[in-house]
Amino acid sequence: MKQRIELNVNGKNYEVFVEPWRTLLEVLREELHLTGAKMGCDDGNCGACTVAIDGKAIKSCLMLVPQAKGKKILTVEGLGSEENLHPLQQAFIDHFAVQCGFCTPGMIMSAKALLDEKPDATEEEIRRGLHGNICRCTGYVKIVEAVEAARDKLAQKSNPL
Amino acid sequence: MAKKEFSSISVVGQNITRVDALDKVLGRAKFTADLNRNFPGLLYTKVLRSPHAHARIVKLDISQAEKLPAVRAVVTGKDCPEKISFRAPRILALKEVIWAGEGVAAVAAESPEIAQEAVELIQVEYEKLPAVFDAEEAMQPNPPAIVDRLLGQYRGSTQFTPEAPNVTGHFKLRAGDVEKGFAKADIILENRFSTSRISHSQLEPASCIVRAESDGGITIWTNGQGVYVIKGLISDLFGLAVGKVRVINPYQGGSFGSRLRHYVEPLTTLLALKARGTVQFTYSRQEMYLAASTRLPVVTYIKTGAKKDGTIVAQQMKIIVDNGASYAAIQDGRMAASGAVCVYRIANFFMDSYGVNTNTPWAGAYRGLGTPQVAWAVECQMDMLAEKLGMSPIELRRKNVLRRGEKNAYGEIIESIGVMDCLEKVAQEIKLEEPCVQEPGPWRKGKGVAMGGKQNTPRGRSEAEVLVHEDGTIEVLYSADEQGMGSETVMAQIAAEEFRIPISQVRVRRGDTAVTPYDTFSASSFTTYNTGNALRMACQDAIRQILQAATQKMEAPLDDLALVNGKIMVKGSPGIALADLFEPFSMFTSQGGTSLKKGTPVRGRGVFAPTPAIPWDPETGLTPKMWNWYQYNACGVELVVNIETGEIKILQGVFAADMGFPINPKMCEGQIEGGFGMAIGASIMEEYIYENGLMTNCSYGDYRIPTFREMPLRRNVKAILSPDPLPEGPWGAKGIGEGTMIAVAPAIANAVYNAIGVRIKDLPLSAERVLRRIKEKEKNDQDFLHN
Repeated sequence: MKQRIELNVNGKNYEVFVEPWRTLLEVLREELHLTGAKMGCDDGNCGACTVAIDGKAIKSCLMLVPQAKGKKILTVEGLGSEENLHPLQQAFIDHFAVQCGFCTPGMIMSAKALLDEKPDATEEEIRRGLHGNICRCTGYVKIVEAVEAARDKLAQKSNPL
Repeated sequence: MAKKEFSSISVVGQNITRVDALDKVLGRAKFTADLNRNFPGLLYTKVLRSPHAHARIVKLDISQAEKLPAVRAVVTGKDCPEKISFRAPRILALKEVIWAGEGVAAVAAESPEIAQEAVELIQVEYEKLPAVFDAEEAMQPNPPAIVDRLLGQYRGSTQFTPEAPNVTGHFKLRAGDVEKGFAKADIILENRFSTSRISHSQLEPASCIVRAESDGGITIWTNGQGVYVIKGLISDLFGLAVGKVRVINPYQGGSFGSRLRHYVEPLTTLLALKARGTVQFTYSRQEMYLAASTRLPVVTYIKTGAKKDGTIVAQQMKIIVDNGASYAAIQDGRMAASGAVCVYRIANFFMDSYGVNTNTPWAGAYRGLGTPQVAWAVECQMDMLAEKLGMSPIELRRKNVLRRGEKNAYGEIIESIGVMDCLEKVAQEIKLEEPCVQEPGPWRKGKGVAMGGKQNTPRGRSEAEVLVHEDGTIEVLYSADEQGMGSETVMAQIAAEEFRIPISQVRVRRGDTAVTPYDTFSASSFTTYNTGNALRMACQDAIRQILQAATQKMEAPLDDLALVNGKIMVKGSPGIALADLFEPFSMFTSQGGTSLKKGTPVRGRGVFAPTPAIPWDPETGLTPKMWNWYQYNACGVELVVNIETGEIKILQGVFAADMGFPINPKMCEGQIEGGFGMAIGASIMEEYIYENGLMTNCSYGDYRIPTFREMPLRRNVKAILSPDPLPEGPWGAKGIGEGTMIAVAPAIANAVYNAIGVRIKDLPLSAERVLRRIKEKEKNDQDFLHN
């Protein structure tokens, strides 16, 4: 019953041999050892498993792995590196938007997809765009602050004047 | 040790970047279930749980499950150790199940799917028994059901004095003469308040991995709190040699008290020992509602007597704490009840608190340990009293608040209390005296305030170690938890401050019983205080050893020396570099001697335990030391209530906290904002909904916790740090984690009353409940007009 499935994750091609009813989240974590995306509920309500698929934020616990074939999957591991953090990652550090950190990878990936689609997102749009990602530690205040800071930084980069 | 002339505070009190933030934003920080891939042949756990709140197990047949290929162990209550620990619920039910969700049998298999299939092959027959869900019914001498005659006694508590079979304990406070007090009162106000059962809902489900070692011992990786407590629990329950049990604590995805009780580790150990393998158990989100800890629902009766000028002359309270079907019960409600004692000066105080078991999911520690539930009653009562007296709620509180140096009703002298300052700041910030401007439409605006305090339990023992290397880098070793509150960062700051070095030279190592020294766990907001004090001592111990070594080399007395940023200073001027104190090491020629050697760090040790409580008189509850210190806080909210739907939207939240000296102000703000957010859930959204005792809303989809959208706009949330430093805390620090929920619910209820004139005494203020009360009020008002 296992199938060979090709996946493109963080710019690399992978071949996995798994049952087709596995979720993308399970395969990322258990087969590809990319444990940045977390399982908080396994029913699409917490957002800790969010990854970007063809630029859109997707809860990877709700996607079966064959549905991800031929698509570009970006996880938090592919977003930035220690030497070259994505502005969102830097802003989450600088603004104390991280506490326990369990929601952080999913939160950052949702914010990334949001800002890619809407680089000038207002606070209201950020709140609406991220409300599928739950955080129990921060009360969201510093997360909004970080996303706004990253938004401004990204705008500066794309328009240096 | 460190002398005044050398010291300048530079690292503590600063907004130092979290030391764990980089790994967390990169997705590299490892949580327990992230380690699965490290264990080839890992086995997975599934549990059969009771659908009945109270039933006898008539038949339990696991034979079909055992026959399934790839099933490695099946266990039932008969396989469990007879010993029961108060640190954990019973591992599996034996003869009777006592709440809907209790485990009956468990399977370890080579995949989660096979384990689930095996669980479905287990045959069980139940004979339903009468159940009791309401704590006030359960506490009667002849209740509709007895949850379990032994519950509460497992602790071996000397306080166990059952007045009824479901009552686990009773605490009495008898201060002054309450009858005389009430006789002097111009006004007496009596009310009943209640709170719902809610879930911690930390994002990371409970999780552990247990490996049976070939020497008969085990190694546990877990997000449970307190590695040494788990080590002790497991070796005790299973009779394992203490030295062969090792517990390692990766990052923890939140706890809020949930993981203080160890509900996955014992079962997983049982399975690992039986399967002789490595077993992983991660709760599903549904199990996090049904079979993890919950918050204690509390019913509070409160009667307050006051003079016309607002002076409270007497208070009587009855506090009923619903433990659920808990083996780990908070015995007598004493902790919850403390919320009523620590804020106001009440000379004549008569209080009874009870711990009661019911056939509902078990309850325990939850951010504040019962004090927010009791403060809910006290702070609503204060506003109601203020209205009756025609006083401002601020003036009434100002009149009765305890001041530093005064005695509270236990008889304790209060050393540090910044609560009134918190309230004054909050009231000013939300302009409480200015009435809200109402707009057309169904939304009505209102403002409200409240305040509160949380005791710090004088418990536990914390040890810490530092390794000082020849290049000046420091390793900090400790075992308290990092649930997200930032203990690793605080410890790094403390060490950096003691050694006067930049934070980048400090590396924190935490939570491994084979590596890091003893600690209890992170609870009662005491990590900064307990572990922080131990770490300061460890640093000072290492510095003393280094300076001692320097006295010979520098021919100067110890008292003239200090260690500052890698240099030994002699009376303020730099002498030699720390590195030069470490002599070269040669394998054959200079390996001995007592001097400091390169490659061998100086190891400093520190131990701190808070001064214990002084046993109180069991008949009066009076003692000069019941608790340790108190953190305080106040909250003000502005909100709108929709009179057509009952919905509440919080527009503005101002929160001031007295946490003592803030070691990291931004992280303190984070605790305030997080506690405020969590409390919005507890105040207006969250509750367990049952059918015959079985929770029916056990998913994030049905049990809603606050999202971005329930929080006010960023600019409308204000966190104010208003410290009253505590002399014996590190640099005056106390703690903050638990206090940040306390004042929110009553502030919201007071604001709702301000908006629509409806007083709601039961939590949560869900839209349904608010609307129902609005309709009741409309009807009452009409009846009043017609009569």
